Amino acid sequence: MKNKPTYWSTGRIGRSILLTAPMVLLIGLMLSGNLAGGQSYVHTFSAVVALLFFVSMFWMMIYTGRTDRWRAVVFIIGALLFCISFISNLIEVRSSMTFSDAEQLTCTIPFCHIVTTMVIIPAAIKQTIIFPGSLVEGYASISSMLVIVLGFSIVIGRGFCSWGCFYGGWDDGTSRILRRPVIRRVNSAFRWFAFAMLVLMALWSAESLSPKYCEWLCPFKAVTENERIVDGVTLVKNIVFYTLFVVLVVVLPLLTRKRIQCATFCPMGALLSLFNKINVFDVRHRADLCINCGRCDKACPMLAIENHCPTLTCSKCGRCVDECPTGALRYHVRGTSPDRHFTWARTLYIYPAYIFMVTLLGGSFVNGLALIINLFI
Amino acid sequence: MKKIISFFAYLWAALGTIIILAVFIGMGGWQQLAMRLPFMRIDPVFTGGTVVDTLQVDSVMVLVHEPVFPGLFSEGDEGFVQIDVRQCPTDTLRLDSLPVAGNVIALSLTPASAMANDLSVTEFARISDGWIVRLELKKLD
Ligand code: SF4
Ligand code: SF4
Repeated sequence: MKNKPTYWSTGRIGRSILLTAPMVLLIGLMLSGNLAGGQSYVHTFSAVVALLFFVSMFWMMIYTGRTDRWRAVVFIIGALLFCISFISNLIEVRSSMTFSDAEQLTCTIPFCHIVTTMVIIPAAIKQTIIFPGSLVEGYASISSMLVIVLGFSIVIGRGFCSWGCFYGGWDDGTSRILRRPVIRRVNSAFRWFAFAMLVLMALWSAESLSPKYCEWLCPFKAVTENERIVDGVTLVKNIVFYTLFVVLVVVLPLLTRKRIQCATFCPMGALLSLFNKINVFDVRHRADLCINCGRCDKACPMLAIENHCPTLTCSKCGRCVDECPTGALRYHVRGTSPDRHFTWARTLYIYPAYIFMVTLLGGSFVNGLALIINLFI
Repeated sequence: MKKIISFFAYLWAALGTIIILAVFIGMGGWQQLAMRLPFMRIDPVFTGGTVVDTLQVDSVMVLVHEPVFPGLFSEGDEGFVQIDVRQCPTDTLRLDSLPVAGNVIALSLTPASAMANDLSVTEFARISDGWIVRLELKKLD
């Protein structure tokens, strides 16, 4: 069998320190607001724990040469702590995880990146944003989320879905609970359903001038905020949210070991896949090294691999790269030869991707951790 | 040629880290820039539209918005007018003779209900210092 090539730093302490050192500074910079004085001891302690945690996971990526294993630890814990922090923030601000007509009519609903898919058509035609949120002020304002979506997806494309999305960590987590899938074969054509969702949600929202996916279908309403039950309609909406969460985010990922909600249902995932087209990074397959073992097809949680080649919907999680026994799958910089400099291609990708992850999840990681510690002391 | 393309590809890839840092560090500036985009305003369906009249009724302030007839390409036939009641010290309120969108209406407000004569209430919410009420409008032709 062909041997898997190792990265320049794999198993080498000195080289790993060299590649990790700049990241230590960058993580410190990104957590500086949390590390600065003037906060409670618990908050500062949580920030120090977060710093050590983020640095050690990055170090493991560099030292072991495995990407997905350590990425997933940060991503999944980050998603859980994000929801804890988000819900506690809501309870602090409005004493409830639910929102009512008052929050909608005063335009104070936090904007999430998935709404981007629904505001595009009215923004182009009517030049307005169809969402009851705040443009600049407050938590998760519309302008900040649009800057994040555009800025980060230009650099890492659909890597957004495996390196930052605070929802993606949920089904990434549930899809790893069982060691072997109960349902072994999932047709990868199901991923095109997400594109149908994108078109449908964009058109339906434009026609009705309201974000329909948020109003009726988002499974993550179950772990963030949802509409207060005041009548039959809001009751049905909540039943839909919780049912979709249980089915798409818990049960199916558990049985298939695939991120079913992200791969087949999320309209934002489909939109971000289009950014892969203009993105400088991809995961490349080298046919000359491939032994057709099929491990990558089984491993890919996004149903993104066809004939051992990553396709448009790849989220650059790195699981197939880790799994491939011969190194036939590797991070790659478009326009360069995939045979050479593969350490650099990977390093150049995981640096911005990891910074993105710490940027998006770092603050809520610290808050969530502080909340948990406060529960016990 | 291949070498030149490779060089620029690696350069662009390295810029990725700088772009991500610039997005994070310069967030305030990027937000200001984003605000200059022509579509950066919330649709009147959610804000209620521009306030066209401010009335003082005793100590209570009443803001009357312009009528909104939602539609993607052009105005629809059905819409609403929004009234914001602010600085109200009491839990119940009755407002008579309010000039709203060409009608003169009376409003009765409690924490759990809003009623108007002539026009029907489509949405209402109790807020910290008052109410937001939307009244149904239909275009006549
Ligand atoms: S597919 Fe959707 S929910 Fe999943 S990670 Fe991507 S944006 Fe997030
Ligand atoms: S193709 Fe590989 S890197 Fe892309 S989503 Fe699938 S497992 Fe992850």
